[in-house]
Amino acid sequence: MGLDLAIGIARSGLAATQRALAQASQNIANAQTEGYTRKRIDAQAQDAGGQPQGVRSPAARRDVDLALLAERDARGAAAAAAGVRETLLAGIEAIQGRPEDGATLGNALGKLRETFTALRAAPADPELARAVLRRAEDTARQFQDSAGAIQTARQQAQQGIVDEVKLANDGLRHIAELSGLIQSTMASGGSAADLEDKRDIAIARLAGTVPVRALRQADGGVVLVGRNGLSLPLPTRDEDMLSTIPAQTGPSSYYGAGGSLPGVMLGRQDITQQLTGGKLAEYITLRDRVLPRMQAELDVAAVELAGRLDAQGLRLFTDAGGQLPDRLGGYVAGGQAGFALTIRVNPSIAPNALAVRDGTHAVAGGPGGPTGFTPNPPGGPAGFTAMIDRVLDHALGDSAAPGTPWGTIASAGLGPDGTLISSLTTARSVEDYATQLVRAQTEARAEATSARATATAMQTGIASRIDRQSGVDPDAEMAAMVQLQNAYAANARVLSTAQAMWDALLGAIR
Amino acid sequence: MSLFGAMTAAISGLGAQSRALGNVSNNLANSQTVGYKRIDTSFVELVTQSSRTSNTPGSVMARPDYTNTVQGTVEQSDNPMSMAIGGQGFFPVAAQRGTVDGMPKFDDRQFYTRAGDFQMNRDGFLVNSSGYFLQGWPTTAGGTEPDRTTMAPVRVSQQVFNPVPTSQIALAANLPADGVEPVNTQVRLYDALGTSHVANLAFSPVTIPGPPVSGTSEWDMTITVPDEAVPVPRSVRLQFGAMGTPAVAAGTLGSFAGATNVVPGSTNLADPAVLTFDTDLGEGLQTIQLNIGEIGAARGLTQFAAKEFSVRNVTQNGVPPGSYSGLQIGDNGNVSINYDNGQSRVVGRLPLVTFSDPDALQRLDGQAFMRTLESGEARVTDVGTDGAGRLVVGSLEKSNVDIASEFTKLIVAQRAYTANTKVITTADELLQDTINMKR
Repeated sequence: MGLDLAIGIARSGLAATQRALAQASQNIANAQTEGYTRKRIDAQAQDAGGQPQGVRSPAARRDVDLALLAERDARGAAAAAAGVRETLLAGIEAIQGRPEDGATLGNALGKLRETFTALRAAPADPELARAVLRRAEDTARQFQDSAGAIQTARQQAQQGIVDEVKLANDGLRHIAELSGLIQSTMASGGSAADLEDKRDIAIARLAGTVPVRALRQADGGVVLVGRNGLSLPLPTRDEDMLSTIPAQTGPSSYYGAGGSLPGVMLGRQDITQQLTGGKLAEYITLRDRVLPRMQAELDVAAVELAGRLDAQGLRLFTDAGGQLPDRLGGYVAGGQAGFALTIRVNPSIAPNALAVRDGTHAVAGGPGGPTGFTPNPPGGPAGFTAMIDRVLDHALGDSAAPGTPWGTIASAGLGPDGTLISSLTTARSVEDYATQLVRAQTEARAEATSARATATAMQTGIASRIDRQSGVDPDAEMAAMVQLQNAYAANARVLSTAQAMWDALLGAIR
Repeated sequence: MSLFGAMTAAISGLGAQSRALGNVSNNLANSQTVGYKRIDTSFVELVTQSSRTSNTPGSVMARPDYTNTVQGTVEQSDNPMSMAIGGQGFFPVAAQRGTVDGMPKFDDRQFYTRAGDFQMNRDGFLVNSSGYFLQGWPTTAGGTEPDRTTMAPVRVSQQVFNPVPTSQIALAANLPADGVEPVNTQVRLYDALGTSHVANLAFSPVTIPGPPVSGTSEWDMTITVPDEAVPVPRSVRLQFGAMGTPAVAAGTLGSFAGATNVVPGSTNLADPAVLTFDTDLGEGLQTIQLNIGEIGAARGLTQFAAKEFSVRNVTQNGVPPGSYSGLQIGDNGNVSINYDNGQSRVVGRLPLVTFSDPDALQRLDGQAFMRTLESGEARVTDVGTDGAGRLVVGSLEKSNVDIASEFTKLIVAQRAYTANTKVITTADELLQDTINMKR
């Protein structure tokens, strides 16, 4: 009683001050640490049965606006997704070339037309005919390179799905582990504030892959809810929650019923269609929609080029087996898928360059299509120009025959599963189509770049708001330190006063 | 002979004051002992002869005055299992008498103490620094209420939290009112072994033939549990707003229709919207209640205009197995074990014991007490009821000795003792004078 009590209370005051100082020092030391939020220790007066008992400092608390965190994570997911799209599309753009550099498919077709025009002026010159073949080879190579770049990007997207699923599983495991620690720390009455910071970082990282919102539970656990009703349970035994399998993509492989590409599974449930936003969903969109559509547009351009020349009587391009896909048979049924990868100059006319002047086969002609044509027989006139005129006026032009425009270039039923739709609908000539195609694909990349910039700017803005609200303010910590120093001195003074009183009491006994 | 009387009275005074000094020294020696109650001294006069005309010196007796009801200083402690009592009452404790099969065997007698510096020992018992074992009411099996008819030493032995299979799922979500695409969400289930499974809830909008109206208001829900031993098709139609029977407020759940393998709850206004279904996850049938809000209220599952299906909350009550992570004592005396799966279980409750006359308790070594006839029956009550004090967890009751007042008593005893010796020497001189009268 009495002095003992005073000393006990002063001791609790000293202990509370020390703890607060340690927290202030931790705050200052971690002012620059990523994801660290400032912690506060609020003092609580204690008394027992009406008797003062000093001060008790409960577990450290943090002051975080969870709605802002969720908003930041959502922007982060958008930025990460746009970044993925930008990277993959930029790879394709680099191969396809840019219109202003004159190295695109449209430019190649323009140059092919120029060589035909030159040959028209001197049809008997075999050198000019060989120039036509060389230019045709360049065009075929351009098709192959572009389609190859798209296939590479699609394989990268497939690999990205596998990698992101692994990242998501690792992230979920990490979050589950931290949640377990938080639950047991909270159960034993300790401060889980630092662990919660770490979990917020882990959730933010996971949100880049799969956008999730954390619903915090009373016991310290979290339920992760994504967009579109997706709910990601945390692993309980370090198991993989999400699964997918590696696969090889090809021009005719696709995801879905009958397709060969795998989806993303949650347990035994296919959640591929539920995924929205984030890197994983973006890779899936690229693999299943964007890149197959770009491939299909390229295939359609190649098929139209080869098919229209063939329809006019010149089989200039074939696939590797010397065959042509059915131009009017549809993308899937006509075997057009992947033609841009295999297009090449017809091997049977390579030894005889002048075949481009003479034509390769007869055309019967019919209503709504090309007119009839008979090739220049061997030993025929060296100034034969009918074939070249048909190429310049019709195969590379807008119409199949005078007054008969070409039918519209297919824009629906595209893709390996025949469900994709192209936005390129206005072009009549192959050259226009190719130019539009390159422009549209370049624009998609530019859109991704600006989407990423916007999302990143938003994310940075929100992050700085969070930092202002929850981050460490060194000035406030300094001011708190002065107060703590005073409080410590005052408590120590109580101790020394009690000591003096003891001395007086002991002096009373002689 | 009153000179001798004076002398014997003074001698009894010497004895009494020395006893008082002894008590003071005992108090000072134990001034830092946890749960120690100081012993004051009261002096009692013994009368030999006292009448109107004559009075013979008697003597004095020092009797101990116990202060078992006086509160000691409550100080904070770093040990989370230390406890102090603010107010009246004692902890019931048991003493170990021996060991049988490696487990302690307890004395049949009941002991009481206020020394609350308990620590968990090797066997999971809570033992204070004097070696007494804390006793409490064990929790009845499967319940949370303590069994107040038996008292046993508190022991933390349930090191494993057995899993709880999921029986309730609560879902709060919004279905997009003009949605045309089916949507999905996943919920976690635990079976009786604590294995986690994922159930899929699929909602597909029911399209109404004819011109499009705003909001389909009817959704077919299917519940699939892919891990089921035998897949069971479960479906029920959810009718919102005007499609409900009877119609309810727009966007809120009104009624169910066409349930297959799902039992819908009643659909009166303001009833909880409940769907019950069974699943066999390899451990026998498990009945699960899916709670999706309230009929006619914008809670749980709703159907308002939205860009996409959004889940606001999804919870379930199943628990995976857990292992021991810590012990916690509540202010109401509940002893609970915390497990690393975030669950806790109450294993017992600490009662307090009060007496009609606590000062009459028999003192024992180690700040313990025993019941005596004079103290009255031990009344075992809940913390804070029937005059029992409050439990202050994480604190210790030090002794109720105040050194300053002990010093005061010390000075007084010293002076009183000296005064008595003066009486003796004076009586001695007087006796000498008396003896010297005869030469």
